Amino acid sequence: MQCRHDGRGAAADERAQRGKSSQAQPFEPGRLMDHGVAMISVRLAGVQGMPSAPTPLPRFEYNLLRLLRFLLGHLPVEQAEPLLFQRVLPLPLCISPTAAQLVADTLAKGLVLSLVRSGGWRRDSYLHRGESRTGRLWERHDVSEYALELSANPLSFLIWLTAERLDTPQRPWEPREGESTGGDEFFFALAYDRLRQIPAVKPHLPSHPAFRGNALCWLMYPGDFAALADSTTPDFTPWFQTPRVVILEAWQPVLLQTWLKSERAKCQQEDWQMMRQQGQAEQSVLDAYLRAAHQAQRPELARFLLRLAAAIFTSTKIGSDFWTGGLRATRPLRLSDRLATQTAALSVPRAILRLQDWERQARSVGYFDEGYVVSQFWKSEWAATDGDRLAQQCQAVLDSLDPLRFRHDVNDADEP
Amino acid sequence: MSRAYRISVKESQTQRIRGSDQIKTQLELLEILPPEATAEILRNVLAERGFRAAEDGTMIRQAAGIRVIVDPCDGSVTVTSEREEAITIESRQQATLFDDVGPSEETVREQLRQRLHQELQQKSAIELQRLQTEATERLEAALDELQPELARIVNQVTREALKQKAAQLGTIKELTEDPETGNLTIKLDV
Repeated sequence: MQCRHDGRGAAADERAQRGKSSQAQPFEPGRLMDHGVAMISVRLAGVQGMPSAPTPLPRFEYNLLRLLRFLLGHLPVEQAEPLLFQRVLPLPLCISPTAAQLVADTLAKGLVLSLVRSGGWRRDSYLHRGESRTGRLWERHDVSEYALELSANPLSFLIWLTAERLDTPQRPWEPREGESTGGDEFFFALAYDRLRQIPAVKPHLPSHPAFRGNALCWLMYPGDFAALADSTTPDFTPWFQTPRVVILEAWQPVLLQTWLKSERAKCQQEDWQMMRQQGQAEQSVLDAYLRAAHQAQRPELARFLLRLAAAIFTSTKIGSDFWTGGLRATRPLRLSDRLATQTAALSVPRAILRLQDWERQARSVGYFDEGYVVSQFWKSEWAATDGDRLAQQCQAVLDSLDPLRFRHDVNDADEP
Repeated sequence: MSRAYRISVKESQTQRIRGSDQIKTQLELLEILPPEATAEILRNVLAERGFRAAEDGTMIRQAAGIRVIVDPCDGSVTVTSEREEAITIESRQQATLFDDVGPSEETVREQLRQRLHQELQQKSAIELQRLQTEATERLEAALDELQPELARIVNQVTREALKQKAAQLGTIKELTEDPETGNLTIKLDV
């Protein structure tokens, strides 16, 4: 594993070298951000540049590194919580080169490790430039093409997080415009996943500038962003391009788990309004995601939805109560509002019907047609998860909510 | 010596309130004939069942506050229930005050008026809720009757479409319908 500075980071390299020789040049995040040189590249390559011996750090930098380790999943929440709720500290003008190197090293290793652990290690098949490839993440792709670059935003966020309280910040944090990279969004998605485990912090996260526009956060937890009044669903198109797309491949099991947890929790939701908001947010996220996947000819990146449906419809007795059975509180007066809420809750069954449309389209693609491999891939994916049965059950569940849906047991014999 | 006296404020309001509810669904019409031909059959079937054609091409039937609109072009069905009433709500507020101590008569009157308006708003909201509940209950009751009727309409349209399709394919030799099972058998000379 290697952490390197790219062309934009040449000045930072030089400064770091000078810092090493004199041990006096401080690493200044503010100045680095001004010049846009704090660009870190993470490569799936051999280990280099490990520190030779532990170096003592000031308390602020020590806390910053501990928080970073927490955000990357290497430190339990109980140990990080006191750091998040301590008194507000003065925002430092700079951090030391040692701390900067440790941050870069921890990010480089932590992000790659997270990708590998979350699903990159699995021997799976995915499409790559219109062809099927099987193997582990690093076997399917030429890793030299998939460097995850990080801008100055993660580091400035870490400094801010160490100095401020997330629940009651005194100084706002804003990302630098136009600098956000795939690596940044991946880091912030990991951070979101960790921070939302703290109940006191969770309500403040969706509106925070670090997370509110992050497509990966929306895709993992769309319900969290439902209450944002001025929210617009992020565009997923960049996520189907290099290098972001490898994150989506590795994160299929993570997406499956977060959605499964959310779907199972719906039957405990008692509030009609909240259920409707959550369902609408899920619907808009899935619409945007599936549209982008279809355009990019990467249907297999909707695999987590098929597996999610397979995990839900384990029995033929699964009905709409699985999602809406908990709606007990004061129900809306209007039947139309009640139906809209119940229908909104069933965003996953509706998405499966959309995947069924893809399968029908795939069936009509001939051997000499463009996209034949993609079609065949999706058909095999569909068959492997028994897609026809899932779609049939999804349709039945959706029909059960329609009070005027044609029932096949009704015929002219009813007519007097 | 202070003297107590009572102030009474009374107000009544007459207003029209309206409650409504609506649901939409889609008829599951099989693609046996081209959409235009299916729409024509559906139009005829609906006309037999008391629907009248509107200017925009939809078919409408209205009875007992329930309006059913079917668009033969896309098979969409909209059922609306509406209730409208003119109501008169009344409210009265009283207060006792003393001529030498406590707030002045003007202040008390103003407070009473504010309380009166709040009470009138609450009563109006309760009436609106009642009317809304009535509209929804009527809609739910109407749906119970409408659901089998729509199913029969779909069956009728499908049967008629099959007959027309069969006639296009050849000469109909024999046509039998089983009213108990709804089966339709058509024998053709192609």
